[in-house]
Amino acid sequence: MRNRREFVTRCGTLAAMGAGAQLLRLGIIAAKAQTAQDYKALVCVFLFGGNDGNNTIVPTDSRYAAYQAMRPNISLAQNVLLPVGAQGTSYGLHPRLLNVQRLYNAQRVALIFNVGTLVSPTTKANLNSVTLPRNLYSHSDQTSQWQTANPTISGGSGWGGRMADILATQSAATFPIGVSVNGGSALLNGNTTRPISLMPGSSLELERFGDGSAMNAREAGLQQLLTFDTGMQMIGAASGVMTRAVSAAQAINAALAGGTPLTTVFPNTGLAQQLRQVASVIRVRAALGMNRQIFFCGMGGFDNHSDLLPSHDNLLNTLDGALSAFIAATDEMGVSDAVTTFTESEFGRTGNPSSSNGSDHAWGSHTMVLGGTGALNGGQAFGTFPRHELRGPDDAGSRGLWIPTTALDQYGATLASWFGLSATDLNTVFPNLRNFASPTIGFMR
Amino acid sequence: MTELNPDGTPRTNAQGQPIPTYTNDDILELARVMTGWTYTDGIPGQPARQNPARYDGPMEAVESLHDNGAKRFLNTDVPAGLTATQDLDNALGIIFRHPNVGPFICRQLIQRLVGSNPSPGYIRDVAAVFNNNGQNVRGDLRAVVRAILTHPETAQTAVNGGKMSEPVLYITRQIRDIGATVTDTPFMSDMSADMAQRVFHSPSVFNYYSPNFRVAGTTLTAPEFQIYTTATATIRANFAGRLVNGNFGSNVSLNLMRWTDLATDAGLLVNRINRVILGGTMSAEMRATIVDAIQRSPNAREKVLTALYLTFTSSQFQVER
Repeated sequence: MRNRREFVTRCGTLAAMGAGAQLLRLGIIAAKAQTAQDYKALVCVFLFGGNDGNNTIVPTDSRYAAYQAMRPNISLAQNVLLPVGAQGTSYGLHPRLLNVQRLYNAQRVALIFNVGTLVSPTTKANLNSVTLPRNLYSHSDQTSQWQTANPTISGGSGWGGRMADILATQSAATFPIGVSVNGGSALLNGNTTRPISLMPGSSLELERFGDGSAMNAREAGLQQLLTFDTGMQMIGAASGVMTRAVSAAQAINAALAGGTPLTTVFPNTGLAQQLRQVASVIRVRAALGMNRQIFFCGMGGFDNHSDLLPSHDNLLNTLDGALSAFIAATDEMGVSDAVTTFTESEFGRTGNPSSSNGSDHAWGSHTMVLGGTGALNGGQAFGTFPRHELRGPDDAGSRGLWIPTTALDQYGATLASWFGLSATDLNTVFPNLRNFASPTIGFMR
Repeated sequence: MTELNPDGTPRTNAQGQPIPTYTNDDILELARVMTGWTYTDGIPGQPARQNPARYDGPMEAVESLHDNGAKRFLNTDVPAGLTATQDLDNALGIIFRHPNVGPFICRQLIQRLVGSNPSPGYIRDVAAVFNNNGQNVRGDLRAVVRAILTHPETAQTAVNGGKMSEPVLYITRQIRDIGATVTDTPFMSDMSADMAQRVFHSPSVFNYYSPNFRVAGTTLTAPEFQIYTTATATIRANFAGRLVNGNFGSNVSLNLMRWTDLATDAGLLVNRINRVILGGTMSAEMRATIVDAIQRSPNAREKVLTALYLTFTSSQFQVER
């Protein structure tokens, strides 16, 4: 089994050559091989479980004392934090975010303070009178809402998918705009468009076996069976997935077989390998005929109700290494300004610790956006940092549940606006955006 | 998450909005009930204050760390002074008696055992048995499973009938159907993990997929589709090819004789597949496609590989009904 894994990992391009040769004969590649100069990609990195934002970005000015007092047994020492300046004062990044600090200082990272799901502007004063997102503090609901930007209903399409719906009408590309390398993702499900899913270390290619002419008959039969309408919706849906797999495989395997593979070395972590695959798809953007792509990646393990410090250390180390390699890959491909990477996580965590040295589910939290200096207003922080005071003006309860001061909708709309969506489109993609005075918050140029 | 009617549909308030079953306060109060428990240290009855994670024995209560004050959750008062064990038993009873449990758990059992889109009537009928098995016993799961499997709706003839095989079942169904035996179970577990279902290691407490997952752009509830993507669909098809082709070597004991014996007559071979593997559901056009491909395969072994590969990769096989 390991052989197969190694084979497809090392020889993804070789494995694709069969389909590639076939498509060359059909002239499909030539038709698509026009250079897409107006290219932009968004890459979502979802931190599943609820990242502890309080220990990701810490105020290191006079407010450090309040931070330390709020969570004495799970606080980070002031002298290990990685200093960054923002908003005229000093903050410290988690000590494992060495590359993020380096990139921040190179204006390649922007920090966004206290982002969260909201229906309309919400404060302690109106907390009991405004409509709140459904089931705050719930993993499943908030994970969904960060991807759908529709916090008052259950499920529905994703905001990336709705962007793809609009962009697909402006593009001749047949390859899907949404690509998930982390399984099914609500973010990329549109109302009219569907993402495809790729898996690191695995190709979309249907493997051939046995006699060649028999295999040709099998391939033809498989594709024919996909076209039969049995009258059963479940069977039709299954055939739809496989049909898209077969179609996408032809395009992507042919594209990946061309050009020069990336030399950037990615760490051997799940997230880094996902981002490596994203980079490999971006590399062949012109062969695929794409000028807009939205990617979904993710890593889990952030739900640390106990023993936060050692776990968070490992997680942010993984995140830092993966992001750093991916930024290097965008530099290698010359698309630094065209690729913007952003983090999401279903919620932040309580300021107040749990009884077992962890932190519990909360609400607003800090995010990061990474990209090129030509696209991103990096080296700065945006939004309003919450006051670290239990039961204080920013606490929705008694344990430090920060009421978001920037809505997910504004965060997403800033990215979508950079992507080229009109003001009208933004309101389509983010149905509650019109409730907020500023639709975008300035971290993109 | 929201209050349910006996048929599993959401209850709504005067504004037509669903009613949350519990609030964050309920969670905080229930957390107080759970205080005082730690892992076993292997010496029953002598719990230390906080033991490292250990899963080979029941957790143990440390009364000095149990919050034995009065509590209130799910609109029920819990008296002060209960021990950790009494408090836990009492709390589980409060949850068990909540009217949501019947329709909530019965819908999911039907989804696992029969189909993804049970009608409200189906849920109502089964939940009624959960609530009372006829002898005033609540939660008799034997009676519940009997009610599920003997209900007229097991026929799954509605357009939204059936369920997608989850990876573990996709694998085991094929192995059983062709009469193979697995000699290396961890190996099969790896296969399932490749299809996004690492056995006993779901990525979160929310299982591998949500019972409410919908196929994008449709009203079709199809939980297993959350992990049936272009990537895993391809991996599943390649698994079927490797299995029938014998690529798994000593990990799977495979003998295709019972199939190759029939290979001289494509019609007979497909008839047996329809009877043994598809329960007689194969359509005429599906049969014609497979027969044609068999006839284009050169020898008995290749004919069987073609027949089994096309069957196992078909949506008609992957969707159980």
